[in-house]
Parts: sequence; structure tokens; C-alpha cells
Amino acid sequence: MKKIILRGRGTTGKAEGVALVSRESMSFFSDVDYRTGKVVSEVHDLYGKSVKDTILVFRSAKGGTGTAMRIPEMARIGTAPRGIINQVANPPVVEAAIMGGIPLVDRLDQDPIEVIETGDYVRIDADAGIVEVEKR
Amino acid sequence: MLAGEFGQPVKRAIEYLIKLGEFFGAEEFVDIRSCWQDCSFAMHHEVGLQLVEELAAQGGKFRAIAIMGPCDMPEWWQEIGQREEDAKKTFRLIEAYKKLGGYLAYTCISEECIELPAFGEHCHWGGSNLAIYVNSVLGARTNVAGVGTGLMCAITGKTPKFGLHLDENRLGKVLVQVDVELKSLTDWDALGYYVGMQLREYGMIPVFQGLPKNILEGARRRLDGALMAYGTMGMYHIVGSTPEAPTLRDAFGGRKPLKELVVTRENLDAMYNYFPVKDKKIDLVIIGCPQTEVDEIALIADMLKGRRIHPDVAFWINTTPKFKHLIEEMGYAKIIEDAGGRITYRACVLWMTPRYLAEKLGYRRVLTPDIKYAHYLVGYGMQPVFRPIPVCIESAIAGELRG
Repeated sequence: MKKIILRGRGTTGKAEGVALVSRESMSFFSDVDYRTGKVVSEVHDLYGKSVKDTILVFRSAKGGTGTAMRIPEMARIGTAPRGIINQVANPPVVEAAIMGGIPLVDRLDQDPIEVIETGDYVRIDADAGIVEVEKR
Repeated sequence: MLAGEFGQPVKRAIEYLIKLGEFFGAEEFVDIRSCWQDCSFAMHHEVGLQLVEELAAQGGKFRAIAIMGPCDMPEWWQEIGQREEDAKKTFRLIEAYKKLGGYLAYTCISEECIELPAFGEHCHWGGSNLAIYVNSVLGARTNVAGVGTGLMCAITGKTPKFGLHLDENRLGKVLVQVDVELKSLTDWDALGYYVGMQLREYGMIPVFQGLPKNILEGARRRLDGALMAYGTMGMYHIVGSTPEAPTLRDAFGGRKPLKELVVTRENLDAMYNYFPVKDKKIDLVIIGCPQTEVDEIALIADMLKGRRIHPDVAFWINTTPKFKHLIEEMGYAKIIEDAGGRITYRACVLWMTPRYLAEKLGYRRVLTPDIKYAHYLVGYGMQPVFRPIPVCIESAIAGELRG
């Protein structure tokens, strides 16, 4: 099985799971229903999918400071992704990830949206800033 | 602090801030004298409420002056059908913040806060329209952040030094040439919203050229709020007006703009039509995002004097408690209330369970002169329309959109 290693910047903690990849930005305010983890925005490329328990890969978070407690709340009720991979993470999503105890990495040496496909098995070591991708 | 000599809450807070600072490459902490902190259950959720209560129960005390923002429940929450269970959460959050030492100022307009930071001073005023005012108008330094960061900064009295705390990140990036005369207060909303929409990437600080040197606070709050509805820049410069931009050269630090925008009357007019009118009837008129300034309330009272708001229309104004005495003393409160309107000195409609208001209580067709309200209410199942103040008042009286 083919393995790819990506290196970048991370928060803290480790996570692993099946990747769910969006080619778009994502708002945890309007695109995702935080109560269920489902993507509810009809114009989003993940419409109808659930982010729950995934390694969620997307460009960057949209929206402002409201994101910051939404993701920890999802973690509390069990609808959050296990890990987050962004091209470039914005401050509210970093705050949210640390608060919610969800490992996050960004600024990887290869574009995660090109390298990772939905269904790949992904391991994140956020302390080291390393992502290991096992192609399905 | 990490060793726990200042207690568990401080240890927990500094651990969080170290992680945040390390991620963004901060090399040190700076001491802060003041914070602005959100006070709404809507932004905290259950997880945030539990965190604040835990820190309070562990004996946490704010080491920085913390000025609290608006809450979720207006004084008249029962009269408009807000649920007891929601109110209880709001009041629990307020109690916990009070225990931590937060000042219940319920304000989201900077110049009415208790302790203003000075030019060059580091602080943590994380709320979007507070941060943009502090950075741009006062020349003090803060990042924009959510409630978790604000809480931890207030507890430690420190913030990691990255982002807008650093000189190099405060320079202008985009030149905005304003080629239009701003005729009404709401034109400032339209300007801010249009520019914010074009600058959605982090750090795209606009430099305005062609704006007046002195700006009424009623116009300023609109520009600040609207810029941050879409925008994430946290700061702007106005050449010849704001303190870090005496000249165009200073604003850009001698560098070239990455981009240039020209704003015309056409661009502003497009913002008035950005939220489509689906139905001329109106359920709710709301004013005050950010909170209404006293001169705007004077204007509204003048238009409402001796008249009646249509019985099918709810009319709510949100302002800061610091204005309460003035609004009552000048007779504005009585005029507005006699006309059938309500004033809240502590709550924001964005936090007042807007989805429940729309879906269960029928406050769906909303008219507002505040574009930031319109922007956010779309996401809660409301149908907002943005219009100048006089149109909002005449429409409230007529019961349907007039203009």
C-alpha cells in the first residue's frame, strides 16, 4: 500500500481516521450543522456528507470568531471531525482546534487537497507537524 | 504560571495560550491591561458555559480589566416569547463572568468601554468590531479572536505576541480610493460591506483615501462592523486621519499596494440591493449592530415623535447601558416606547435565538439599517432587507417596505 508523508505546521495531539476532502473553504457557522456534523449548505461540495469522526481536509475556515467555540461544542457532543488539515488555517479555527482538543495541521510541503482523497486513511501527528497518508 | 503557583485556572489558561502562540510563531508574551470579552451563550455554547463556570468555581480571577459584551436576553425577554431554558443559560454565563471579575458593561462599541487602550498599547479586544476600532482608530494592538482566547487572556493578563501585535503585520495592503460622497449613515455600512467582501483573505488591511478626517461615531461603528462582516483584516487605515497613517507612504510602510480598489456610487447602491426583497410586509425592524449611538437614537426619536409603529411590526433598538441615562433624560426612550418600540440596553438580536424567533415566533421578514445584522440573519432563516434609517422608520409605521 502506498504511503505518503507530508510535513507542515501543527497544534498538538495525534489523530487518525478516514479522510473527507473538500476542494472548498468551509464555514462551521453556515455550511455545517454543528448538532449533527452534516454539511447542510447545498452549494458546498460536501453537501449531505458528515464530518463526524473524519480527518477533515479543506482549504481554510470561513467566517469569524463564531467558529471558535462551535468546533469544541461539536467535540463535546460527538459530532466533530477527529483531525483537521488545511492549506492555511485561520486564527479562529486554530483556536477552535486547540480548545476542542482536535489536532490540526496546515502549511504542508504538498497541497493536501491534491494529495489526499476521500477514503484515504490518514494519521496526524500535530506535535511534529506530520501527516501520513495511506492511499486506499 | 505554568507551575501552578497562581492556581489552576491561570495554569490552564497559560497552557492554552502557549499552544496558540507556538502555532503562530510567537516568541514571547506581552502583558495586557484590558480585554473585551463576549458575554453571549450563543457564542459560548454549552461547552463554553461549562468552561467559564469551571474556571469561576476553581477560584479564577481576571488579571486584566475585562469589559463584557452584550448578552442574549433583553430586559423584556419574557414579553417577546424567549424561552426560560435559554434565559437560564444566559444568566448562568453572566453570573460566572461576574464571579471571575468581568465588568458587565454589555457593550460592543469601543468608545463606550470602561478602559480604553492607548496608542501602541498591547491589549486583547478580540471581538471583530472592537478589534478593528482599537487597532485602527486608537492605534493600540490586538488580534481578532474567539471567546476562548479572550477568556484565557483575561485570566492570565497576557497575550502571545503575533499577528497585529507586530509592526510588520499592521501595514496597509490594499489601496481603497473612495470616489463617492457618503450621503447617509448607511452609506458607511455599504462602503464597509463592499470593501470587506473584496478582502476576505487574512491580513488584507485596506488603506482608505478620500474619506473625511473626522468621522461621526454613528458612521464609524457602521464602517467597523460592516468591514468585519465578511472581512478578516482586523484593521484599516484612513490617510490623514488614523494614527498610523499620516501619509499614504506611512500607511503602506513605503511598499506598493498589492491591489487597488475604487469605490463608486454604483458599488454602494448595489449593497442596498444585495439582500433581495421577497415580500413587502415586515415583521421586525432592528437597529444596533454594532450598538446604536446616541445621536442616531435622537434622529430616530425625532422621526417617531407622536406617531405609532404598525401593530404587526416589532421595533427593537439595541444600545449600550452607558447611554441609558442620556436616552431617558433627553426623552428619547419615552418617545420610542410611546410609538410602540422597545429599547434594550444589554442584548443583541444576533444572540437572541434568532432561529427560534424566525421559525417559532414568526419574526421572519426583517428590515434593518445595519448591514451587519442583515449579513448574519440570513444564516438564521430570516429574510433581511437593508435600507437607510428614514426608510426603516417610515416602513415600520406603514407596516410594509416604503422605499
